[in-house]
Amino acid sequence: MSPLISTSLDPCARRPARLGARFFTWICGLGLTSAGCYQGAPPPPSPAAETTDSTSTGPESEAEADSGGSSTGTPEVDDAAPFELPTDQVQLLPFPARMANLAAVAHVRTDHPMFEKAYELRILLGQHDYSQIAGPDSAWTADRVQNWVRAISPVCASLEVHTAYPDLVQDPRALMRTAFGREPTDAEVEALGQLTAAAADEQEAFRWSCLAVLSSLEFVAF
Amino acid sequence: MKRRTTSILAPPRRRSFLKTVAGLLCVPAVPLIARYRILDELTGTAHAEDLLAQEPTYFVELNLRDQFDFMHAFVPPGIATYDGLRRGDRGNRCVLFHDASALTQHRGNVFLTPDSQALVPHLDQIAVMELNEVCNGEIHGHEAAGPVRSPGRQKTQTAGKAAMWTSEPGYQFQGNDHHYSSTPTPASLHNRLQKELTPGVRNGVAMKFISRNHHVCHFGAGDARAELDRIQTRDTLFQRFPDTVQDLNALGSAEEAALLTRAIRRVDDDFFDRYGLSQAARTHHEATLDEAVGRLYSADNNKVVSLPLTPEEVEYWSTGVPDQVGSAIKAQIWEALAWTEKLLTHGLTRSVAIDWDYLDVHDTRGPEVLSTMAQQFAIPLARLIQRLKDAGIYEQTVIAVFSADGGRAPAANSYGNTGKNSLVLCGKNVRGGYYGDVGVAGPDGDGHRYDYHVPDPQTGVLRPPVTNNDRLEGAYAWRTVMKALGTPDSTLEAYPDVAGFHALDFMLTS
Repeated sequence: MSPLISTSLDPCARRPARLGARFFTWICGLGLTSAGCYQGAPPPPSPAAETTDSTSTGPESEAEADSGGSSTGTPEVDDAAPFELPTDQVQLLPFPARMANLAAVAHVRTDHPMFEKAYELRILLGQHDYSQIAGPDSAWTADRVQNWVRAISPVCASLEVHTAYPDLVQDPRALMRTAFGREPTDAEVEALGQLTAAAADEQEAFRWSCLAVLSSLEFVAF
Repeated sequence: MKRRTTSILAPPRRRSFLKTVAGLLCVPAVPLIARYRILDELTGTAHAEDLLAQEPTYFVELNLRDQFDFMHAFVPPGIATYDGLRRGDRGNRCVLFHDASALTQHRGNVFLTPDSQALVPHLDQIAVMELNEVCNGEIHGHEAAGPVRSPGRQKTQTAGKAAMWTSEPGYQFQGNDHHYSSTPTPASLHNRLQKELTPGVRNGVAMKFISRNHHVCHFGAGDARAELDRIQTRDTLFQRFPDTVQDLNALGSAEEAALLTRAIRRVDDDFFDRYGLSQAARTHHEATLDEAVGRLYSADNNKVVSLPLTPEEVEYWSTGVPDQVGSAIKAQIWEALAWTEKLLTHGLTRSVAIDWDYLDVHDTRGPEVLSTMAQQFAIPLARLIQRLKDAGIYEQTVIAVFSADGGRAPAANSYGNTGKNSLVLCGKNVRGGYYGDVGVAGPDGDGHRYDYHVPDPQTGVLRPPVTNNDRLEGAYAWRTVMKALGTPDSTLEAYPDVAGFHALDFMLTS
């Protein structure tokens, strides 16, 4: 066991454990800062006047070919704005984050049976599975909308959600407040009002309201 | 003058009658020539052509990484006929391991090896052109984009060009690179066009079955309707197309779907300004919700076909096909093509892309490598073509096979940023043959220098040979694929990096 990490519960021994943990954390932070989160992956080049691409001939380096080594020709990084969030496309929250948020909205644990369909469809919903070389997929596509609504339908039909938001149809603010983490705007509330006005009955109105809130970008994306 | 049958009908009845006839004639079992003759009898030649242009087409885009070499599938004539070829698995020796007596010559300058004989019955509609623009990935050419699949793609972002990789799940730079483009990749564009032609047709899929963490970019050029559904595992393919009568409809009616998406759209309205997303993101999202209406409820959602293969189907598709090399196998190539056949012939979708690979081989490439590649490519392809012919839809289908991140030169130690970059085109409107050539320029150490005879894009006549990387711009091959599909030029001219180029008409019949 590493001398830097001690699991002893002895108060005197815990001081070395805290120091060891603190040192370990510092080392990790230093490592992450220097290596970056994407080893071997330079950031995309910033827009430039250059429009021609050079075509290399022959192998760049055999060592680079299949290893995890970094590529050559790292573009310059603007120190004033080194990190840019993608703005051209909606990005879904990671699947575990969406599940955690669903559980928080429904006031249940993430392993509640109401989420069975969601876990069944998890890969279609963007969850990764590296054992099958399936990477995380953050695209909000029509296919994903379809499967997300299928996944959350049992959530919206659950006793727990009906109990937590008994006045959802009359006033959706409670659900929206919990789901969005902020006070909903009048326009958002009115959008739901127009939806529920077309419903055949209270049950349908409740289901539609719940589906609309939990399928909105404010809930599923960032 | 022969009076057209429909001219005796009043215009409203004539229009209704023609629509009905056109719909009936779209049944796959009716051969194309019969459809043309019937329509010609009813409407006259010009109208027959217009109606047929509205027919659905099917497209299979098979993308083979890493720097797939078709040498044992289609031998370039200059190599096949060279006397004194120095063969070998290393250095500059040529990686053709069948000697001349084992090759078979066919019409159109096609030379096959024993590994690719399965293609013989279908050669009249298989065109090969390997002298396309080479790839420019940082690691000796490896890239996920490709100049043939997205002409004009580049490594820097300029006006009108978007990142090509953002919709590929788990994308990493290593071996894939970052490219920007304004030209959609073929299957993505076909997907959008088919959905415009036939509202309600199901979205196309991209089977991402490469065994390594390498990718092929499928790029809609900013149009959400073009985006293929990425299928990363066989289980998700089966979930996407279940073999039991499951209710895939998330909602109970089309009206409910429209109401819900309208409400979501209104709730989402402020999201883009609040979080600084671009207008492009808003437009993309609105198109996504538009399409979602047809997904949340559709009668077609419950169309059932059994995708998992029966033992008989496994026997048919797999016999003689070597397994995929590598450790992280998602699916064999014959499985992917078998599933594709089912998806197309059962009308579950019209656009299928398959990303697949033979591992990246360096320095030495022996006979087992080249034979395996050829058999993995040729045998399942021949079976797919036969199945499509049996189903009566081959004349409406184009299959385009790309060496997605470049090919190889004939030398054993070659890489994919030099040599060939291959397109194999099959099916509708395709004129069979091997176009262009690769030959021996002279001795080089224990092997040869090789030269490349690029075809003139207008006539197909071979230009003087070159030993450098001068090749045909990728836009020519791209337009050839799209023209084979019957895509109007007016649609293609909208993309600036292919505007002004034309199809390689010598590879097509019309």
